[in-house]
Amino acid sequence: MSVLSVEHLSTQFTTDQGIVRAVRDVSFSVEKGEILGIVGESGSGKSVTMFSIMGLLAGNGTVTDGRIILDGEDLSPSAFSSEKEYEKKMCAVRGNQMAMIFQDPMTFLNPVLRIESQLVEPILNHTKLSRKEAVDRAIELMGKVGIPSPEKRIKQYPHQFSGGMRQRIIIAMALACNPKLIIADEPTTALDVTIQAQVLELISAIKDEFGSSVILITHDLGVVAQTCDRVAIMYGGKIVEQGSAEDIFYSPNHPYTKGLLGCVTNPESEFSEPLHPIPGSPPDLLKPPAGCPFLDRCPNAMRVCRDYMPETTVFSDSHFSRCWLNQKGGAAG
Amino acid sequence: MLKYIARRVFIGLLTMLFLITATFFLMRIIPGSPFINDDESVAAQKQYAQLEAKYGLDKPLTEQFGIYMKGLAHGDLGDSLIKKGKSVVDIISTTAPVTMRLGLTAFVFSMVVGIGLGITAALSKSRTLNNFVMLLSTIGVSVPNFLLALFLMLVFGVYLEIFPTIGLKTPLHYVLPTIAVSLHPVAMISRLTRTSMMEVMRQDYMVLAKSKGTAKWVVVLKHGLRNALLPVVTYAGPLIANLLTGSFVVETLFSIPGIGSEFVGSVTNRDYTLIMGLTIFMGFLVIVMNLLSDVVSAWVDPRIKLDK
Repeated sequence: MSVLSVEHLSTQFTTDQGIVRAVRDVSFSVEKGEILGIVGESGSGKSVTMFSIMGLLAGNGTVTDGRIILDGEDLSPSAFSSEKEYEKKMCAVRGNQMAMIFQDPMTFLNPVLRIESQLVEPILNHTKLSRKEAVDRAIELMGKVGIPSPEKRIKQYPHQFSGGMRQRIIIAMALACNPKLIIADEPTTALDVTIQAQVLELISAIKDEFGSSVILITHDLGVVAQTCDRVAIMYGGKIVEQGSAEDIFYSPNHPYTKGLLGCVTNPESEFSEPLHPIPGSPPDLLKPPAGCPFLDRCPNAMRVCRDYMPETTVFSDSHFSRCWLNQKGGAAG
Repeated sequence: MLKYIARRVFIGLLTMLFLITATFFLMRIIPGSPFINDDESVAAQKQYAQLEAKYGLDKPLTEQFGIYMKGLAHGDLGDSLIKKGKSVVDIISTTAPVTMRLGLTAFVFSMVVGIGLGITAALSKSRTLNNFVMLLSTIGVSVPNFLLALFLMLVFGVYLEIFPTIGLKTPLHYVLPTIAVSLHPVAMISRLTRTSMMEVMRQDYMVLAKSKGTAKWVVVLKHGLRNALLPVVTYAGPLIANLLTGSFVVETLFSIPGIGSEFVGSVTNRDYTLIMGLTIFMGFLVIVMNLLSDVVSAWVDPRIKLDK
């Protein structure tokens, strides 16, 4: 059984300009002990999908459709009789069964509270440990994520830590209650390259030690290749291709996936090859197109793409894409 | 921290010295005298000269300043020139406690009501409540306290006869003057709190706190409030100094024998020693309260480094 399965999830935001359909009919699942990478550019709906799962959407965001099932338990907002009931349930789940690691370690820690009080919080929320035992556990966690002399540093404030160390603290918070699922929302984006590698190694190591499953959101294909077992590519609020890391890197089928791979430099290449950026910009989700969201930027766009949403093409048990080209009889099919 | 406080105390002393010097000479530039008399007869003029000589006012100004500073160094603020037989210290020690009781009540009231209203408005989605708080703060900032005091006296004292309007004998007596002096600070504090709380609610660390499974109100109180209170603390220092030194208008209207009315009286009477004494007292309060508010700010927000 999957640790997490998301079926037909749709999320929208009500804004002054209108309704933004940030996530449209997204389905995926995460198996036990695996790392699922979710790749896409800014505004493709990656983070919104994760915030929908965690129930942490901003006040103007709502999950309009779909089911979110964590370890057999239905956590879709629609499965609860009231918002209060949902919130109550999510308070027990967040930080306990699933936890989140955030993008920017500089802004996600509370500047006026000691690390101790922030780190014991999930422990005290979800376990019956006393304050003192919780502090001991927090120190142990800090050691686990590689913070030197944790007994001393736990008394300090966030501004006394470097970016990489703060991200380690955020990771320690996420680990506090040994969650089944860790959602890492671009955990390395705000860090410099050497620290990035350390943090990714830490996440992989933790996954093995704690037996958690991880969803790793990123727009860095290098990160995906290095860490993920399976990959989902998101574009315009939809998953356009999904497969194992090998499928995505060696036999990409969607033009967007191919385009993304074309944007990656190869440092081992003897010639200085020019990069191939994807021209254009993502669709406006205030008025999402009826057909394929990638239409305007697709080098292989056809007439059918304009009016009809591509159907799912299944290549193998784990490899899917949504492109008319991949359908039987299509040019690349 | 101690080093910082020591430095601030030293700067405070310098400020006091400047304040004393400036006030001493400025008040003597103002025309008039404590003993002035429209009677231009020879006898009256002679009496006037005698009085001036008695209090040393006939000496050169710089010499008078020297004498005053010498007295001050010994903790002697001198005697009032107008109120016969009363020393300045006596006057301050009888009037200041009255004003301070009212001032502290008003301070606590302003902080509690202002912060409460600010948070409620920031968190509530209700347009009506938000508009009410904004309206109240606009009124509070723009209505002068004597107008409010008169209005309160008229409505609650005269027509409804709920609260007494003269003196500060019982707790009930405190109600109207407290409201009269507090409206402005309540308006300022609620607006400050509302703005900064709304800002804090948008911060990333609030999302992280929620992601740990912490209940919503704990997130607001534990993670939000402390961050949101910083501008309020900065405002609270000068505010408490202001409230403790009293309001002349409100004290006069409610017949409160406080220090605010003494201050105005001393200036109109050219009671030089009393002016000096009260200026020193109030200057001291302002300096101490500002220092206190800086120390509290540093305690609320550890990123503020006092030593640098």
